[in-house]
Amino acid sequence: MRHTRRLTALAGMAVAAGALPGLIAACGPGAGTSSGGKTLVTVGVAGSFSGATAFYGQEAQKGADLAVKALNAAGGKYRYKVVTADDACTPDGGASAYSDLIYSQHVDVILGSPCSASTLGGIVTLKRAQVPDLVVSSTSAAITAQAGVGGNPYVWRMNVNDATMAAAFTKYMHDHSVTKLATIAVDNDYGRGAITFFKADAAALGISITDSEYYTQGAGDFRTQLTKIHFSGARALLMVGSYSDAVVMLEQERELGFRIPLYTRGDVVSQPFLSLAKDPTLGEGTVEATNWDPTYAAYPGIEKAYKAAYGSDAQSTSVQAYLGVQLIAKAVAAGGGSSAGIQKALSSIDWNSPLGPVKFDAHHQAHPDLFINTFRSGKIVQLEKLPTSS
Amino acid sequence: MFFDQLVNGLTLGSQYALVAGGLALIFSVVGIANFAQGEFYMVAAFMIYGLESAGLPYLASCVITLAGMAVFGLIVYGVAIRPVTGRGWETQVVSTLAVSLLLTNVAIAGIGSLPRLVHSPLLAHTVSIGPTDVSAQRLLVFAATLMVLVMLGGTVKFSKIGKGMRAVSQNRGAAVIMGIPVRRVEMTAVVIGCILAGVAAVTIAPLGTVTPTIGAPLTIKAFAAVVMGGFGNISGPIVSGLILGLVEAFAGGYISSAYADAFVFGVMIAILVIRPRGLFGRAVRAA
Repeated sequence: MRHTRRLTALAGMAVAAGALPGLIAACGPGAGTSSGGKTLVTVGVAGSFSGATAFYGQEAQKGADLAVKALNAAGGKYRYKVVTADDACTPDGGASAYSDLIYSQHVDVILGSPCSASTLGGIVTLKRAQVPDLVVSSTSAAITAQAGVGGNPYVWRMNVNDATMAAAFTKYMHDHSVTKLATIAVDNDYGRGAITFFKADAAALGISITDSEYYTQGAGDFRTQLTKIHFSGARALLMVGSYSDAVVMLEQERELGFRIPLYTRGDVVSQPFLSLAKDPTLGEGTVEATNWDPTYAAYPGIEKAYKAAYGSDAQSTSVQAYLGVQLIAKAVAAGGGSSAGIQKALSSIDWNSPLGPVKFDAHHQAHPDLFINTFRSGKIVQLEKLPTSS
Repeated sequence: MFFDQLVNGLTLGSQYALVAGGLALIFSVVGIANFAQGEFYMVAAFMIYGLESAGLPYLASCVITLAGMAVFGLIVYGVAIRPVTGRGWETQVVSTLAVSLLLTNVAIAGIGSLPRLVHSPLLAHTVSIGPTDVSAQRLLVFAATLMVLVMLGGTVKFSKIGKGMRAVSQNRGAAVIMGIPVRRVEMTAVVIGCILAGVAAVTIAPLGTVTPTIGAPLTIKAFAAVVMGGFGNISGPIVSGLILGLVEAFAGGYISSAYADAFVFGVMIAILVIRPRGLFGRAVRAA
């Protein structure tokens, strides 16, 4: 009996030892598993799927799903799959989501997060796992500062960041005779971070900041801030927020009976604004600097496909996720479907994308175009397309 | 700017007062801190949004929403509140928190988190009050607050059900012994609390956007109003809601909007330090 028990124990240990390498491999990033004769590439979308910012993650997923559907329909030797993880738009959430994508869902590449705070929280996990992260929506300049040379080699950023947008847009405002400017921004890392750059650039160009206000995202009442801005003597207002908050703010400006030229960051000049506002003249004359084309002229196919699939207008996050997956597909075509292959291929990408040139510099930052748009007669009109590469 | 911020504060405070009224009523009668009161507001806001989207005019949508919230109150009482009355406070807190999380996440999953707008014909009309202009919709919120204050106070003081509510609030056990239908009184309080959330939603929702997460910030401010006004009474939290709105407006207007919330909660804490039972509070129920 004792002899049998000892043999059984030895056999068990042998089985465990044999399985151990496989278990260890399974705990890491995906290895481009085979699926129906094609190599499977798993794209992990990190985004906020809960709370007040849930639409960021939902829109990013929609865009990624559409792009993957198109890629898989086109055929080829790779098959793509999208998986998601909720980062709740917080740094802790970002760390948790990235870890989940890497160690539980075994992704080959991460696309994310639309929230800068979550991206900054999540990228710390990338070095050890050696999984590349393509940032397509987060705008914090801190991400660029921490990426590439001297920093995290696994972070790649396709979109224009806050610092670049602030410099270009402040110059635009200065060139259009703005001398006294008030600011109002959403009270989080995104809003505060963007305003910091705008204030510095405005001071350098001699634009006086008469008042600086903040609001909680989703807040329904802007009267207090608008009243103060009105009394500050501002001749123009810069808003960093979202289109839904802009609709409410503009209605309350109308209620208070004053209106000054509005410059915005945050997808205000967009179809979703027009759909929500119902009154097409509400945002008339608003000028916005953005890192995507809200007229959809640069990518009519994406807008059509999105509307057909989801019955609503594509938002910036969905378009950026779509184009991000396209970029990943180019990297896969050049380097293979594994994390290492994608990582290597991204360094030599040179793509004339619908958003402008995508070629990564030493800090893994691409320099696509900046779009200046406005509402004119209830329609979105592109005023200028500014190159951001030097 | 003083008068402008005064008007801003009263209209903002009216929003907090309306939500606080329902919260205070449920706590006073049932003895449960309802962490889902803001989500009741959210449910009502989506109700009126849905009715308007179906083509119903604003007024009809308001009436149906209030009726719908009464039915919703019956369901909430039966499922989440009645089973935990008489249990420990921990169980009660978890129950209402669970309702809050459930409602929010069902809304996110089912309706989506993109913002919606409720339209009201009153938004297009403005009234001049001194040097500032206010939309008729905002005046409606203020009027509704005053109406709730008067009607609720009158109901609690003079009506039979109101007397029952006061009796249950003071001593539930004694109320049972005296033959007061305690369960019916509690159920009525919850239903009225939900209707009050509905009143808040139909008047306030057109002023902003409607999302699944609009409830949480309102619940926090409503709790602050209830704490400041004093547990155990209903009119105190309503008045405190107005005070909180004034503090927020003046702090934002004269100091900084970035610290407005800090001032609001700072004032709440200061009042509690000076008067621990709240501005209008009395001893909470004995049993």
